[in-house]
Amino acid sequence: MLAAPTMDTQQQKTQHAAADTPPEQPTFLREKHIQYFKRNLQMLPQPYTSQDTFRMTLGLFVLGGLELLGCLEETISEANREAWIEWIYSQQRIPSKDSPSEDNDALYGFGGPFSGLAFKDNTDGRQNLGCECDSHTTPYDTAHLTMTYTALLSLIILGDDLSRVAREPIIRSLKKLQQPDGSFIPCITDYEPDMRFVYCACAVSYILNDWSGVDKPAVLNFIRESQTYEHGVAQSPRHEAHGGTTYCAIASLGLMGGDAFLDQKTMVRQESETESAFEERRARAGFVDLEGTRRWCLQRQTTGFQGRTNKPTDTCYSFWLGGAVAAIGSFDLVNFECNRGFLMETQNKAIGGFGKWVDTFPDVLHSYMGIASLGLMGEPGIRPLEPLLNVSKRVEERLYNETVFWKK
Amino acid sequence: MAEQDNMPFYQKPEWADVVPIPQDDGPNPLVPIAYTKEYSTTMDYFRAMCKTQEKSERALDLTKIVIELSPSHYTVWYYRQQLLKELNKDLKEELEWIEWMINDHPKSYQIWHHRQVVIGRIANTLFPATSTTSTVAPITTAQATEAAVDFDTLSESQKAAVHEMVKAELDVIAESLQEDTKNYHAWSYRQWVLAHFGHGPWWVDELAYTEELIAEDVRNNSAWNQRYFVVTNGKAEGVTEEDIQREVQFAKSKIEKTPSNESPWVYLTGILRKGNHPVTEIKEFCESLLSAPRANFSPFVHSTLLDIYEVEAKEQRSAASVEKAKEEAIMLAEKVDPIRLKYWNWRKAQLQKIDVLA
Repeated sequence: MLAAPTMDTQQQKTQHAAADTPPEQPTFLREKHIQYFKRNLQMLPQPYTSQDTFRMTLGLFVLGGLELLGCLEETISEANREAWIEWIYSQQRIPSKDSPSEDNDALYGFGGPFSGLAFKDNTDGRQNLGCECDSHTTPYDTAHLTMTYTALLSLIILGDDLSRVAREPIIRSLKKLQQPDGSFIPCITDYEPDMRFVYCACAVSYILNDWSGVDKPAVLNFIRESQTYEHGVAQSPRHEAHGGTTYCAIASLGLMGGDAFLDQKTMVRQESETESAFEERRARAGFVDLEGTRRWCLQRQTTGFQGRTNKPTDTCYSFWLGGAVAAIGSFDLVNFECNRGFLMETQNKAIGGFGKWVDTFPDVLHSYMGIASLGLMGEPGIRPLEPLLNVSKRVEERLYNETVFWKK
Repeated sequence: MAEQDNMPFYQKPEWADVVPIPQDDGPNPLVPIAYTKEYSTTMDYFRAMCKTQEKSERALDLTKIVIELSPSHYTVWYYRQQLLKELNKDLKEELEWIEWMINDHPKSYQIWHHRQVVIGRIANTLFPATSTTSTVAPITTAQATEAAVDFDTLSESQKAAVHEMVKAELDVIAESLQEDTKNYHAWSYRQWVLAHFGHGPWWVDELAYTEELIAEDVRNNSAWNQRYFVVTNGKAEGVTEEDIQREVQFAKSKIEKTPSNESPWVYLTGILRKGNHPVTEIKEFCESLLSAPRANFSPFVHSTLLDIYEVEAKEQRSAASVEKAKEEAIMLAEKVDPIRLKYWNWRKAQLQKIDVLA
């Protein structure tokens, strides 16, 4: 078990900064970022309206940001933590007692808060279990895989033990959301079969400690098929190699564990092994050419990282590609100085947070990703990051030790 | 009249019977958003429509209003697709609206996919699909589109109709790509259009299209990726040796002009692998570039040579090749690609492990 950093008091942070950072280096404005996330926690400004259906994910960026900055508990009162746990559970879609039909599988998990279903609080002594969901009450308001993944992480960050998560219905839904080619769609009414939702399905299975909803060989096939001639991974087969989907693919392989991290290119048939046994072993390998993928990821570094060949450098790819490289154990090959230098430029000096580019207005996604990337580099004042789940190692430990699906 | 047009929809008489359903966010919600009144009221009416699953013109109008306020809303599109079907709407009109929406929101996944659904449906009216994969009642699983079309089995008149439709679609996409030549969604949809209708004559034009885009901007990696897609998927018989040779020449000619451009380098080595040619085949080409003053500073000349010498070192167990590979790694780390100093040093260390003949 890895210990959480112990530099939570201002004094220690200052000492750290003084000892580690040469005077000419730009400073990571930790206090400003804390203030930035605190403001967004109270109310996200109007431009976020167009992302209303993804509010659960925006919530994770804000909570996760404060967690990485090591000040979640001191920033958020216990009463608020409890209230938000209730709010998140109120967005859970669970099977209806009246029509538990199998036809409704695929609807379950967490979703956006736009249903119009009544918020049920726990004033009558019962805890909020979510809203009963079937095709008659909520045909346009199903769960969404990304929201399920981000809701689960937010619950753990807030200190919940996941005991009210409807694991079995979620696993049943995963089965319905997986496509014949191995990809996942995010919800039954939205046909976007691609790598992003493969990752969400793997992260959900990992957090719930149950992989029975995922056909792993099909996923492996989809990931291999999506590795392009450049060796990066595309959103789906034949598309262009992309940093975000490369992270999704590599992190999915890491979460699946076992042979998924093997590399087909360097595999050699053992003398004792039959041709068919070798082929079977090859089919369990997730990488077509691991060396090529490593190189493609590192090749994306310009100062920070670009998401695709010959595209501009963008804050979020400092995490997507940094996280991908960290997952394959090669993060020490990243040029820290250049990456940090770029992030110090996209950090907003006046109001905190990070923008996509230098001089662009900050937003919660880029702010979270910028801090996550700095966390991978061991920036003082940021908790160490677990790259596969994209959350602090402290929260990862809590998953293992304090949530119902993992703790012994 | 004009006054009524400026009026919010919910103040119009045809909406008077609808009881809006407010968002119930509870007493203390996580990250509330500062909605505008327009948005929250529209959503209150949208919730009311969803609850009754109303199939009407006004519901269709409302989906349009919601989409324009929140184009990434992941279920309103599905509702709209159902309504278009139920109300038997003119899909040509829908295409015009989508084109307008694409101009405003070119980076929305949902808009491009909606176009795909509508085009799939229109295509299906031209020739009934052989199979469809749908119906998980009562919520129908969203699907890519109707079943794919096999161009070769169509009648001549059907072929002409399909060809015309594909050309029109490719034009719409090209127009959007003019604004942003690297729009991922536009390219994804373009690949779908090309592939969905089988091996029609448009594939030949597409190769020329990628050539045009690459001539305009040789660093447009999306165009290079599209070229790879066309070369490897454009013919029923698959990629031929002639294709490989042509593409190798094409990439080399672009490298000679801009040797520091990564796109043609990865394309070149990718095409060689596709044709089962070893990377060592381009050794002379790379070495000849070293004498060109501009090319000598290209990291890709040196990194490709590093790969080539490494392969030779392993295959021939040659100490001389190891030395040459090391020189390239040092050149990369110290001179031409110092940002990746640690990576090239790591590669250099890997060379040490090659078992060479004494």
